[in-house]
Amino acid sequence: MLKPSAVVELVWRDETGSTASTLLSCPSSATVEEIDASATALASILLPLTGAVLVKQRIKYISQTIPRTEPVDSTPIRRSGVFFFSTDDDLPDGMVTVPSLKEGVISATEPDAGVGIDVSNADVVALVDALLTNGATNPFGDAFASLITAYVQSRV
Amino acid sequence: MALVNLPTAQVKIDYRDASGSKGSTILHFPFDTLAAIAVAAADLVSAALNALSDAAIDGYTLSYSKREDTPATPTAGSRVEEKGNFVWRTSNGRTTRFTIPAIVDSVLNDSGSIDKTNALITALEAAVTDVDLVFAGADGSDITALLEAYQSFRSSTKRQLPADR
Repeated sequence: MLKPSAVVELVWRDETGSTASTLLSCPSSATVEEIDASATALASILLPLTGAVLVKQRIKYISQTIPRTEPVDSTPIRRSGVFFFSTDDDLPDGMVTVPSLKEGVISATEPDAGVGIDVSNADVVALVDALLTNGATNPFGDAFASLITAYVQSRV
Repeated sequence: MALVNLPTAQVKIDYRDASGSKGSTILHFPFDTLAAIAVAAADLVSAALNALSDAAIDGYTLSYSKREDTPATPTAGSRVEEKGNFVWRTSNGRTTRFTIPAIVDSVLNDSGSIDKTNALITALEAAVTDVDLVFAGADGSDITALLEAYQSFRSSTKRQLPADR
């Protein structure tokens, strides 16, 4: 459930290179454009009040699972599934990680038994579909085109 | 000198396993994606991820970030540990606050309180209480007036200590 308030974070840097933030709340019903305009207006008023300089601005919408749920099994968080996605030609690929991957989606057939993820599994298909149809991209903004491969990775 | 947006908005989905260890999935959407659309997408993807993970999903944060491409030079002697604290009255009778790091000395009284009649402070109060700006208390109530303003000092965190110490 989306929290009623979004957070604006203005990050300031002083002479020594240390940073600190001014945190402000605003209704999460406001658009990024509206919040950005207000943050820009306020930052111009704050600038003469500080000896530090503005280096970053973040607008954060926060959603919490309510009621809180509990893990369904003891699978450790580091046992992850990694899903690699292609983008258009010559652009960097993208990756999505799933912590505590369920045992049931790991391939049981060779050649990738115990390592590969069964990409025909209904839950895997649903995730891939949700990412592709909702505009997920790599960090550079290049849209995912298709799933390349997926396998298990233990991250420590 | 301008704040420049990153190419994407980021969704960080938070997990907790049976041992209490935490992890996350990072997703990206084009920066111009409306928050309402990104939230709907995050809800859908989160549900799909939940079906693939044994961990509990505690929630997610959708962030739109901008960085200054050519930051100005901070004032000599400025320290972010020196805060200007601003406590505001809200329309429901409660209070909300924020701090301004490295507050300038010119707005301080000798006692360490902030001079509420200073032109910079009256301009700040006018802006924060202005209905045209979206800022509100954490519970969503309107900010109506400046209640208290004072200087304070916070301990340096490890990251804020001088690198050449």
